[in-house]
Amino acid sequence: MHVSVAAEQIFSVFGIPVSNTMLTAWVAIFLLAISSYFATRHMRKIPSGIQNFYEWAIESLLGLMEGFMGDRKQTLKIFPLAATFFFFILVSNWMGLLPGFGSIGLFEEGNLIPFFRSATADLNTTLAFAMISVIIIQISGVMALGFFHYGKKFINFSSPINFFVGLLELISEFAKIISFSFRLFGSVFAGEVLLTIITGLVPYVVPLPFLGLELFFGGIQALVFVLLTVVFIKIATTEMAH
Amino acid sequence: MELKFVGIGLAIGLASIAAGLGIGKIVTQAIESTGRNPEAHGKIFNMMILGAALTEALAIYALVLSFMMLK
Amino acid sequence: MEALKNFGVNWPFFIAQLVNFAILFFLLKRFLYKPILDMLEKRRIEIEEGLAHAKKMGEDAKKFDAEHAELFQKAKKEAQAIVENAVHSGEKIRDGIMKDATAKSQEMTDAALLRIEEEKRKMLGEVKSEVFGLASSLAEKILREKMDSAHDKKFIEGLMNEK
Repeated sequence: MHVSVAAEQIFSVFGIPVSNTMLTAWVAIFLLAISSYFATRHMRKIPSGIQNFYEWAIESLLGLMEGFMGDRKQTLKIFPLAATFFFFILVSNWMGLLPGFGSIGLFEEGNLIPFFRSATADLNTTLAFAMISVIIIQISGVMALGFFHYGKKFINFSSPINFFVGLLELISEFAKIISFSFRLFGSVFAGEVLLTIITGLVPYVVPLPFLGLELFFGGIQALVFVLLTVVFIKIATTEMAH
Repeated sequence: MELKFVGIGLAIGLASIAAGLGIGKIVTQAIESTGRNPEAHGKIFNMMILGAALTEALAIYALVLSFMMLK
Repeated sequence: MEALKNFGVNWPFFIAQLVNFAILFFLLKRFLYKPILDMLEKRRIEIEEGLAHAKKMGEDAKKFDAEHAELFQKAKKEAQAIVENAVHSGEKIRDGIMKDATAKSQEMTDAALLRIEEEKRKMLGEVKSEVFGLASSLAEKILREKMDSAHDKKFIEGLMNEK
């Protein structure tokens, strides 16, 4: 059994390589865009169907974020970003559990190159998300406290201890990128590997509980990504105690 | 050469033990506080997830490091 | 960077995912967040207005009720006053009428009694004088021959008084 850590290139358009994860990312984007377009095409006072669902999702997400931020205006400012993370990650995670993902493809040099692979099971995607998240955290910190005030958190010559604390803070900002990206990638990828192995051992019934578990973890990971982004923004925009 | 693999195994193994203990403690406390105050269930759950994610990060660093050592 | 390559990090793919995210971000912002957040805000404002309206209505009703009760109390008091007044004046009128009536009836009785007395006296006088005349003429006729008139008159008068 061969499981590739990296996403495979399946074809290229005008010289731009297209990987299987990019393909599923486009599918996810298409699904989300179409469903949200239909949800909000005819907005009604008394919501029903898909509009109701999206309203519920957005309202609960907003409430959750507000609980951490404590300020509605600030929450609304970062809400589009965080919610996009949430929906994209959630849809990608759950799409990876659909039949056909990782199993339909072409054989190349004896290895299966699947056409579809969950977008979040690719470090490129999660690294991109992590970069965006961390950059947004820095930007909101600078916007809230001012460039020099925020910078003092990292580069501080007032005393040797503060200098080292600042250095650690600086490292932890980079560590955030790693933890963001590898957490998501690791748990989704490991989940898929687990499912592949279990299905390879016992193809019927037995993988079902694991499938349910992965469904749960997919939701939790999306939530964790959003919550961490929100909390880090909260920390970055809050004045330090001393 | 074999010693390198032992080191890699130790790195990820020890980190996993520590992270597992940490997450276990977090979840224990979360369940305890939920039992004491069932009304705050939602808030405690979110905090628990957040704490678990932050603790998990340590194991993830170890995972990345061990992968880096592997090559 | 070399380690990242082991995980399959490939810069064109990475940039493509960044672009994907940006596309999704703007699509969702345009089609999902903006309309739904606007709708939620609108609904929130509407509910707030509704609640404020209901509160105002309730207060109005309470005020109206209080006014109503006050008015009712006032009307009751006034009615009572009117009734009392009426009773009072009625009593007064009755007393007056009674007094008047008694006085008048007294007067009338008095007058009637007086007249009766007078009549009686007059009649008595008349009767007396007539009877006296009649008797004296009768006696005179009867006893003209027998007695002198002076003696008879005395005797007859004595008889009359005896009766």
